[in-house]
Amino acid sequence: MSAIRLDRVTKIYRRNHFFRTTYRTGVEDFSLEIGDGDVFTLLGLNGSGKTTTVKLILGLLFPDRGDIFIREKRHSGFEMFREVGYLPEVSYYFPYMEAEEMLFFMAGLGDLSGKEMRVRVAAVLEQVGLKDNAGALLKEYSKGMLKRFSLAQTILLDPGILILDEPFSGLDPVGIKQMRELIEEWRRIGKTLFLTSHLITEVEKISNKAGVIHQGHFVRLFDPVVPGRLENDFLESIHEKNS
Amino acid sequence: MKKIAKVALFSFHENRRNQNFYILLLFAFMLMAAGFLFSRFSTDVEERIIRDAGLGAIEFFAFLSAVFLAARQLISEIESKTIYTILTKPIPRSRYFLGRYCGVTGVILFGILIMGILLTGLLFLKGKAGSLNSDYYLAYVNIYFKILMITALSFFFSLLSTSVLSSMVFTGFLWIIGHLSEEIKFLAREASPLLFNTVRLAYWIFPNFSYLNTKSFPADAAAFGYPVAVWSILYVFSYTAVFLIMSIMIFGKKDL
Repeated sequence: MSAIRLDRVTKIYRRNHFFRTTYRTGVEDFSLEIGDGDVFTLLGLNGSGKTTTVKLILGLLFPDRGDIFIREKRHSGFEMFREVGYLPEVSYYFPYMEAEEMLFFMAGLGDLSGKEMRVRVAAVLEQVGLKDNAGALLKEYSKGMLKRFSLAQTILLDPGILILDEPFSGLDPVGIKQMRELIEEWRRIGKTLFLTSHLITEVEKISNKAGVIHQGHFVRLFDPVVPGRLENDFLESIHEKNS
Repeated sequence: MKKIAKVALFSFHENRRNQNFYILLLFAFMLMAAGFLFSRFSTDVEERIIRDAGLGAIEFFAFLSAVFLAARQLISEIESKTIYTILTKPIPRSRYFLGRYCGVTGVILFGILIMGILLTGLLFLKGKAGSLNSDYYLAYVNIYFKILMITALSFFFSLLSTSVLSSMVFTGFLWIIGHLSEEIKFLAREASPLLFNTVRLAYWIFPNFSYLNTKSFPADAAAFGYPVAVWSILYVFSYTAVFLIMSIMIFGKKDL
């Protein structure tokens, strides 16, 4: 069964000026299928359409054409987030809220009972190493702590599908190693992962599939990923598309 | 309903901790204190000055809160992308929107209540308990009704605007228009038919706070003979509901 499927998805950004409207293609005729248990990475240059793809899968953007399916069900709005967790590239949170308070709020949105919430929030805080700072306001958190908090909220509802937008972005070497280990652990327990990244050397260590998006078009699928070759293959795909 | 309440509570706590809220509260306290000091110059109308200046300060605080909290609530969340991690949890956009609305109007009510208790206590201590009549308490209800309307409008226009500043300016503009609707309509009677009809259309679209003022209650409405309170409640809730429904429709389909 496919975990995520995009069927000929097109997104065009419209921008209204005073007397005219400009159009920019986000993604065009984009099709992709990611199976249950896959670790898939979408590679692309800046502005190639990676974030647009992530936002479309998450329902933050609406496609102009095409369909998106999560576990073979047409994108069904908010209900799918019981199965999907999202790690944003940059950790944007509400500065005046405490980390634990924020997690309780998010757990409440997932309809967890009071007891389930307490157990789950304590477990994720322990897992990401924020147990001792749970009562601090998020504005007092460092960049690294915010990334950990971000991870905590991603796995809070124990989703089967994880969408990680540039998970290695802003991490130091120790953080990168910890993130890689986490992703390997998630893969081991059977979660489906959809990643976007620039760090090809990291990606090829953890992904079994990868794809290249360039100027809004899906140009190549690597299935399986062959370690040591991904960087060259990626650059070749970009070059082919440009020529 | 449970999720709306959760978001409202979250929103209430978030806004209550916002420094802007306390700065506005402090500013309103200072206005009330100024009213108290001025009242000393005229013993004949001391009670009236304290009461009117106090109520004026509370209404001004409520209005500024709507500008600083409501007008920027959604738009700054979208700009800062904090909304992404919330809307990628199992909550429909409509409930999130309503929760936010309830949270903002809730925290403004909290501010009105704090200041109201202070003003009432002040009048009581001054031995002016006679001014604590039904009109005095009704003034608080009317201030809150205005906030319900202006917050709904502010949320609506913030979804259409592209910057926090334009959204705040628009909220301020609507507040002023809302207090001048009857006067503008009266003046437009002398204008050309085109201008008159345009003004009449705007009269029905923009808020009309005269419905919340017994002294300047619109004659057209009064002619129906219903009690003013019935008109006020009907007007406030139907107007607010229309803008909330339109906002939910826009927000539900908005690319973030």
